[in-house]
Amino acid sequence: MAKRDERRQHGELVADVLAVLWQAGEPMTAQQVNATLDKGLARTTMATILSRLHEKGTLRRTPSGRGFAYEPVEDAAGLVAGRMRRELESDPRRDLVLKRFVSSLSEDDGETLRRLLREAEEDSE
Amino acid sequence: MTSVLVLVVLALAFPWGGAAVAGRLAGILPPRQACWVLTGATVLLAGGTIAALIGLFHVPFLASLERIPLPRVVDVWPAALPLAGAAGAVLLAQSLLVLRRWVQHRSLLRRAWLLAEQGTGDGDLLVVQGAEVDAFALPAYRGRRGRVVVTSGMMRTLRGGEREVLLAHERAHLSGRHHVLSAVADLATVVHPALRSLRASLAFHLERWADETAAAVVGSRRATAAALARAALAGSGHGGSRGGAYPLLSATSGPLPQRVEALLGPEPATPRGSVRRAGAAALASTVAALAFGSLALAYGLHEYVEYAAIAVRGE
Repeated sequence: MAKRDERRQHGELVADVLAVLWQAGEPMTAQQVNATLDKGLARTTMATILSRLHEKGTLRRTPSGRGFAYEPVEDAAGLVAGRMRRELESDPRRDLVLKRFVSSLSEDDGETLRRLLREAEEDSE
Repeated sequence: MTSVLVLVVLALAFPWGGAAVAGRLAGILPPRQACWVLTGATVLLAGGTIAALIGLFHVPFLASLERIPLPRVVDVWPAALPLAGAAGAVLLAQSLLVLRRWVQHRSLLRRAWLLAEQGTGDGDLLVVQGAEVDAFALPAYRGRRGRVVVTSGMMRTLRGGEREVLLAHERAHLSGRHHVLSAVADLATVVHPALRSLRASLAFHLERWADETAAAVVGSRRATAAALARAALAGSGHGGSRGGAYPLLSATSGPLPQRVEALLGPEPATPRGSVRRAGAAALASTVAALAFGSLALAYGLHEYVEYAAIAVRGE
């Protein structure tokens, strides 16, 4: 059980690293990823994760300073999000099986949300 | 026998009352408890309905077990055969529909996996490329562990720590096996139409549960609210806003504004104070009583037939 937990935690960590790189949209060094992730990881741990993802072909890297800068491998042929959305959207069971972060909005919802978003941002800044 | 029939009809009507009460109860509980109450109520009420139907269905069989010939049964209670036939037909239709719906769930899961695996990722993340703003939890399937599927469009929409909110939210769905609760509630709606309202509020409270878990992980309910609102606004621009499969819980605003508003409000807590706690307990026992009432009724019907059989034989 402890081992499985460890594996899950490692899986989540790798996923978090990938998410940071996807969100950035530009190449990042191990140091930059570490700073953005802000989990207090050792520099070598981050370097290992990144180079392993590079070996697997998930990331591509370019020399930068004394090390490398990494970014996700993107290819135009792999644009499946639109197809996925279209194919799954029509399924009436979609929201039961695939728990979505956000559901679609009505016109009024948009108005209300913009107001609430302003409210949320005002206080947190 | 008419009095028995009245009871059976009542038992079949119970879920309407039970669903309304369970919905009220879920409204005053924190999301996690609300989800368990809603799922529990759904299962109990569906079970009660099935028990009442089986009770009706088994009358002629029980009579024959008591060695009373069928013509004699019809003599004593003319409606016995048509009622048993109707109950049997409903039970058969329900099982076929449950089976079909189960197959639909599995097929959706299979198609989603086929598509999502064309994305790239590692750990529990799959990034699917495209401008669409979408993200969902893909439950475990045939030995594959559950994944968080995010489009690259969604990744670029989120700011700073909002990425963490999204991942924490979807991970909460996966680790809590929320899709199982949803599936159970969905299958139960086949058994009794009154349970549809419970499926709807369960869908909402499961999202609230994942929202609160995400807020706890990132340590800010405001940041979680902002992430939700921004992702929703970005996503709605890309079409497909047919109101969604989410049922509207209130006439004034859809589920998303309600989720955001709940996060901006005070943290949910279990009802405090003796009055509120007593209220919650009363609601809970009403739901349980309604569900067990149906079970007791099915059993009572069984006993009644046995008792009547003895009387008929003794004539």
